[in-house]
Amino acid sequence: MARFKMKRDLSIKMKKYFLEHQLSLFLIFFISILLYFLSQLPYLNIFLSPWVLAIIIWILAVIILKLCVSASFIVALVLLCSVPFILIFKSNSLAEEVGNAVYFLLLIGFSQTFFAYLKTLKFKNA
Amino acid sequence: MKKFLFKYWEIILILLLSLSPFLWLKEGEIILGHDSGFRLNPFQHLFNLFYSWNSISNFGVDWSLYKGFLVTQFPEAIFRTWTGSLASGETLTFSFWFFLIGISMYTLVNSLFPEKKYWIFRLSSAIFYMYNFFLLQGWFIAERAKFSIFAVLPLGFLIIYKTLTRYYSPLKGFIFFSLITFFLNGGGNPSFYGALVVIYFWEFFYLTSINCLQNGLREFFYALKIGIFFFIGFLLINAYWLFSQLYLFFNKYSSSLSSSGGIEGIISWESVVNEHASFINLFRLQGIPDWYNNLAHTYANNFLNNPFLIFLSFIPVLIIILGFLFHKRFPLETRNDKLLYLFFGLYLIGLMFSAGSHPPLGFLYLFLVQNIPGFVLFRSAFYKFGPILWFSSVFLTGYFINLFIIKLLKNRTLINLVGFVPIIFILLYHYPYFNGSFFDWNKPFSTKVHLPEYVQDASNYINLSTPDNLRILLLPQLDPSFHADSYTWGFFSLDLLPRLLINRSVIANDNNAPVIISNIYEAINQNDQLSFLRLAGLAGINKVLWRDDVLYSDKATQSKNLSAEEIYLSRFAGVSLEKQFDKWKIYNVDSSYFLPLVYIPESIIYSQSQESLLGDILGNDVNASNPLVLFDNALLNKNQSLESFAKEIIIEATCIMCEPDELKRKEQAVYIPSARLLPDSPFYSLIFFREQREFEAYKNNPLQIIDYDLGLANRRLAEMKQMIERNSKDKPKELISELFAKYKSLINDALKMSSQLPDDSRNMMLVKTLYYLQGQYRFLSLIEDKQNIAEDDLDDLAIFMQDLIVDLSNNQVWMSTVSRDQFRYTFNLKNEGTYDLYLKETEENQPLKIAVDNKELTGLKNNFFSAGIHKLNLTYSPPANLLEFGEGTSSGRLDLTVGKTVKLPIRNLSDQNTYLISFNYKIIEGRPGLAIIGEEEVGSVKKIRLEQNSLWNAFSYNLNPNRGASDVYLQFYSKGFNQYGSEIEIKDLKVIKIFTPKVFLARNLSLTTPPLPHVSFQQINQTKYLVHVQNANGPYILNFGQSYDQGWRASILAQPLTENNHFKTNGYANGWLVDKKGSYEIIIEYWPQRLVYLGFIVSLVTLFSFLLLLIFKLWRGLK
Repeated sequence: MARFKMKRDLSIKMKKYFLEHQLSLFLIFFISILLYFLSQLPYLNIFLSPWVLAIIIWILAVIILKLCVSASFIVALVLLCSVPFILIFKSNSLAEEVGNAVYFLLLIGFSQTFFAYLKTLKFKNA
Repeated sequence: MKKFLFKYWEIILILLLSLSPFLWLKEGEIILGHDSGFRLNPFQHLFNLFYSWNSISNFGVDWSLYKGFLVTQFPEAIFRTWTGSLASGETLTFSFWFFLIGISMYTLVNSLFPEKKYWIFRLSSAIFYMYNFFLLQGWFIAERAKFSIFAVLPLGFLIIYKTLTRYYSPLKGFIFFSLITFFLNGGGNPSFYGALVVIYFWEFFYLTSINCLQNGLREFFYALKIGIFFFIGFLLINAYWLFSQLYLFFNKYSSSLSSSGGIEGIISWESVVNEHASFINLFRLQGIPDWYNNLAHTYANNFLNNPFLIFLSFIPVLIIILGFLFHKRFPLETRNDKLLYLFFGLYLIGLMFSAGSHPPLGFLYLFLVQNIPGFVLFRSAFYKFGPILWFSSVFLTGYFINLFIIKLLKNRTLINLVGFVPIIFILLYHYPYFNGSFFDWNKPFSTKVHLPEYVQDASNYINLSTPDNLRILLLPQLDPSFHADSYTWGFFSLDLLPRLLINRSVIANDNNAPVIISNIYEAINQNDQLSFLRLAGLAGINKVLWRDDVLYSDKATQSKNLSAEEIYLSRFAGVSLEKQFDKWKIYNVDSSYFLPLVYIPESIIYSQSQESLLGDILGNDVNASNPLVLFDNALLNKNQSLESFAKEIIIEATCIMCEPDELKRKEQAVYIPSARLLPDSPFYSLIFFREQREFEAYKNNPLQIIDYDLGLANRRLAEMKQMIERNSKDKPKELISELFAKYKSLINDALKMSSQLPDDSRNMMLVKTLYYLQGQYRFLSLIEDKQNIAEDDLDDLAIFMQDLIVDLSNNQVWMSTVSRDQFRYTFNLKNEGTYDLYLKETEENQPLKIAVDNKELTGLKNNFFSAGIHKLNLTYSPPANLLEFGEGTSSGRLDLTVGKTVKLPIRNLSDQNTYLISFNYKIIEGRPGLAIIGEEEVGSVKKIRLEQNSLWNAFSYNLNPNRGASDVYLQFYSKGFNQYGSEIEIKDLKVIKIFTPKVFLARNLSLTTPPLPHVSFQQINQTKYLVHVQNANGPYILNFGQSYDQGWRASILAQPLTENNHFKTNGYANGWLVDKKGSYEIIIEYWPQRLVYLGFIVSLVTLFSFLLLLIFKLWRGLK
């Protein structure tokens, strides 16, 4: 019963979140579609690999949806936890791609935290 | 005592863990070889290091690069002398560095987190900093320079931090920083400073930004002042090696860059070193190049394949990410956000730099390499920037472990117990540190060896019982493929063993050996006594060291396979066995041709040839006494009157297209790129516009115009082929015909331009046009004109090209024949006169006919030639096919049904020659393969790839037999799993000895030499010689037998001779044209040594001033 209630709460929360951020979510969706098509074009496809695309979309999400700092770190952590299994199954190139994504997520997360820290310093000083 | 132990137990634990090197060396073992740089007599080495010229290495080399080792290698000299044993001295040295690395990290953490509750952080970071795989990779060669950088890094960081946060006064920080960079200088190797520069720059930037935010812009000026002070302090105290480095940078940077293959070479090297430096490997603190694709690695494969160890490798990065994620939840009084961001930023920067050219951010590194002068110093990014990653990882891991433990556990006893878990984990995870197996880097080669007694005895004998100015030639010669010195008992190094043991000049065919050394070895191998004695005399060689324990890097070739070298040598006149120490023998060379280090030549030979002809030139002129050979390429931009001193002039004839299958290889190298725009494209006019601009740029240079015409002809053909073959319905026939016409016009233009060139360049360009035509013909033969759209044009073009190829080959081009029975040369004479013709390698193959300018010569001596270009033709019998066919022939079908092979032995094979294997083939069925197999012990199997198609293919291969090989055969076999095996049709299968006669002309000028002055010399030190000249009556050439280097300067009465009169002689030495009469003294000095003296004065004055200032300040009670 409690599990059912939790599920229901979650779905209500998600619905609420969607309604509140409709515009932003559509914007991200639209840009994602656009980027996907761009990534199919000759020359651009060299630079816009699926992982680069994912990172760009993630950066947009962080900026547009104002995602909290921990979001990037949690995703990085989840991805990183999957890598030992990938390596055990000898998919080294996939592991490398995941590693790259983890690096960029850490970079994004760190930049968010660091700038927030600098703001606090400035604020304290003021 | 108890109080002392309680107070300093953390340091005592670090000290105890520093003793792990005592587990590494067993009785009698020492670390030697590879890049370890350990020597039998470290103090002698330090003494040599004081000088900028190292005369131990062949004829001497500049080693300004290594001045910083005077401090870095000082501890081992002390320990070696103190213990009286090389092994004990080395073990103590290792422990010393181990402790220094650990204690420096401990000092950093202890200064920033001195409270008792942080003991886990202090210890785990210090121990992790000592025990990690980045350092372990350095331990197998005991890389003291790297350890020095690792040790200075935390200390420098601490001093900058304390100074910028105003805990230290600027003066105190300045003195401390200068002193630690003096004692821990990274061996004075600027390339190791990459990590330091990045870390300290980030620290300055970060702390200054924060200080500015808190206290305003004045912090920026304060930081700038500190930065400038620190930099000046570093420069002054390290002047003794920095001055030399700056000299090298400004004088030899370009040449050392080009010897590394230029920027492109370095970039391709980077891609090899950083191949595995992906972020995921770096997160796991792995990615070490030696670990991968190396089955012989003693521990790497466990860490790469064992699932348990794979999981464990993620622990540090998971701790860092989890710690950062939850760091706001740690109590404010336990955490330090300012330091956390500083180190996390550093961690991300370290990841990026350590990955070097590896994607995805490799382009940034490549940009820096390509655009920042001097950044190439930091090649092998993984090794140069790795310390950033390890330093920050170690710090963050220790920090978060400590915070997690004190956050999660409240019981103090439990905290103390659990606190040891990470320490034990670090030690267990890095278990290879305790078994010492990491020294066996490529069995049987190891850096941990037992130095045989006979080696020590022979070295002691040479060091103690022979004169200082000895030159010793090593036999057998070094492995020609690696130029490494390696032995059956495990030693392997590019730094030759005798040079590590003997304080004498050791001559060998190492990487930087001048041509004269390979000439000497060639003379021994060919049992050519006269050439050996003359060349050895010219090189000043008076001893030969034969080593019977050599093992080449192929792990198969040993001294016994090379014993011919010793047998020939021992039979030469004047060569005698002086002393034998088991497997090492010392031969004395008593040659009447021996020339001292400084001499004035009587016979000067001016040679317009390659330096590799030195042996032939000297061997030819038996009577020349005190000879000196001047090569024309060494006299460029030098005093032009030097030629007038020559008694004899040698001119090498240039053989045209003499390399085996040279024409075919050049033809196959003609590259025809695909066209991006075709003539019916609306943008094609852009191509036309660009071509016009390019033509304008080249129009004043006929050679470039011809090249350009041939290149454009390729483009037209590519366009033509693509237009004919494309699937479009619309195929404008007129445009295609136009392309045919343009192509013909370009070829005709190239031929016309060639015909207007002078003789030698005309021939060169006609040869080029010929192989372009052949390459283009091959390209056109692949056109598929399915709709017969250009049938007539193609037929017409084929006839045009065939006619031209036949005409050029038969009538116009002067070049050697493909069948290798006619060798054609050109030679250019400045002056008319009577010349003698010399042919090299004519013992077996005597020419049937010799003709110059189509006139047959009756004899080789006294031929009169006019000035200008001449054509020489040598006619030989066609080379013999060395293959034994048995009942078969050189053409036919080979049936290679399953299990059946065809073996064809090669007759009379010698490891001194090169052979050409060639044939045409067409595969009928299956996948046939070819292998070249040596039967004896040193032989090997070389598998050759054949094109797997159904066309006729041409095959040619140059075979250089392994040393000692004599029985070698070709074997055709069937590859893969084809049920019926394979079948191949072969035409003209042959193996011939590659023989290219060297030809040169000599003209004796019969000059009467004025009486030469008498000369004697004395060595003041390795960089300074005093020469006494008596009774000079006119200008003369003074020869000085150290390697030619612009740094060597001669001066008379403090008046230096100009660089215009300083030139290379004998292919390696220094010569000066001296024009001063009478008796006087000449000082020959290696000029960069003056910078060393100056540097030492500056460094020592700075060092003692700082020490005095420090003592004074401490006495006065400095803050």
